[in-house]
Amino acid sequence: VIAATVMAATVMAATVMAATVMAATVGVATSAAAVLIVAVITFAMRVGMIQALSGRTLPPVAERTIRNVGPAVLTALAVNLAAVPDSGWPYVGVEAGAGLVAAATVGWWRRNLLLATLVGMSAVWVVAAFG
Amino acid sequence: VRPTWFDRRAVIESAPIFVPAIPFGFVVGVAMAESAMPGWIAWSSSPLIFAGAAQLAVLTLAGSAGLWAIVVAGMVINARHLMYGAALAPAFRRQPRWFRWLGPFVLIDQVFALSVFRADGSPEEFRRYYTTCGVFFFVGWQITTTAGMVIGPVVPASWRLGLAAPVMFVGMVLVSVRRWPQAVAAGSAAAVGLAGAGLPDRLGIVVAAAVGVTAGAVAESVAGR
Repeated sequence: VIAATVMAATVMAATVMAATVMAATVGVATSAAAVLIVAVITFAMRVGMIQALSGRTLPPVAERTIRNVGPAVLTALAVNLAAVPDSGWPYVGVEAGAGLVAAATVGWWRRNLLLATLVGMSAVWVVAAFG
Repeated sequence: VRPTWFDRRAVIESAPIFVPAIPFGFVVGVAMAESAMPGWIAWSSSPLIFAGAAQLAVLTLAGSAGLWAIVVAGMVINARHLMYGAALAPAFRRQPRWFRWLGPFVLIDQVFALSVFRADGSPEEFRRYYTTCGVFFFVGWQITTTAGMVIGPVVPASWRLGLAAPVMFVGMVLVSVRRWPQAVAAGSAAAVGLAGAGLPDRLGIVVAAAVGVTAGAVAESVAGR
């Protein structure tokens, strides 16, 4: 209970800090704040469960939901970073699209991150060379 | 003289798992060099955050996303550590208090994967093994990301290393997805993420992730019936 309270307080404090610093200019202060806040949150998440679970386990529903978080966030991030924000609908360019599809296919098929990344980037280079 | 926390077997078992992390560390290092952040602050993410995917998000989003969006992205990406902590909690329960606080700092994916199968040994054995893995990956990560940061600016733009991060993220998702509700979560996040890519402050990431997790939870309840 204490650990959970500490964690909740840390996350709340971090959010308030974030909101405060956001008003400041982009630069050293904002960058340092971003790194420090994410560092604190990362550590809180690593240590939180170990401290909190002294004699219990999470309900299965919570564990399954946590497992969906990673795929959802990383996919959202990948598409957002690869997309070209247009005045109309945003779209993913041919080079980036080829890389994403190749990485996805190889990742699913071979279950090997290194191979998926290499093939994905190779697809980008091949399409770029012909485009 | 060998320090008492050292476990040679942990090094032997960590090394092959570290090799695939080298290009990833390099990508993060390149992102440090290209980040809108001042270089030394970008670099400090390696010793302070010590989580590749979260670092990559913080480094690449800086300059184009609001601080709160960066923090939320970092927080959500790292949510899987809650799961690691929950899984290792029984092993840590038998450890001294100082180790329960310090040990989790190096609880990265690889250290979790290696040590979760050692949880049944004696507390001392587990501590030696876990600590050696943690130190090995921490030192290795500093070296590879720093190398990427130094070499990164020399690489010509035609190599399109900026696309390495999204390509790697998609690879990570597809390598780890095992159950179809996770695929539903990823697929809906991709669709909403594309539709919302034009939103300011990269707000689309947060919206897409929320929709993805919700869709995944709905799929879970359907699957559970």
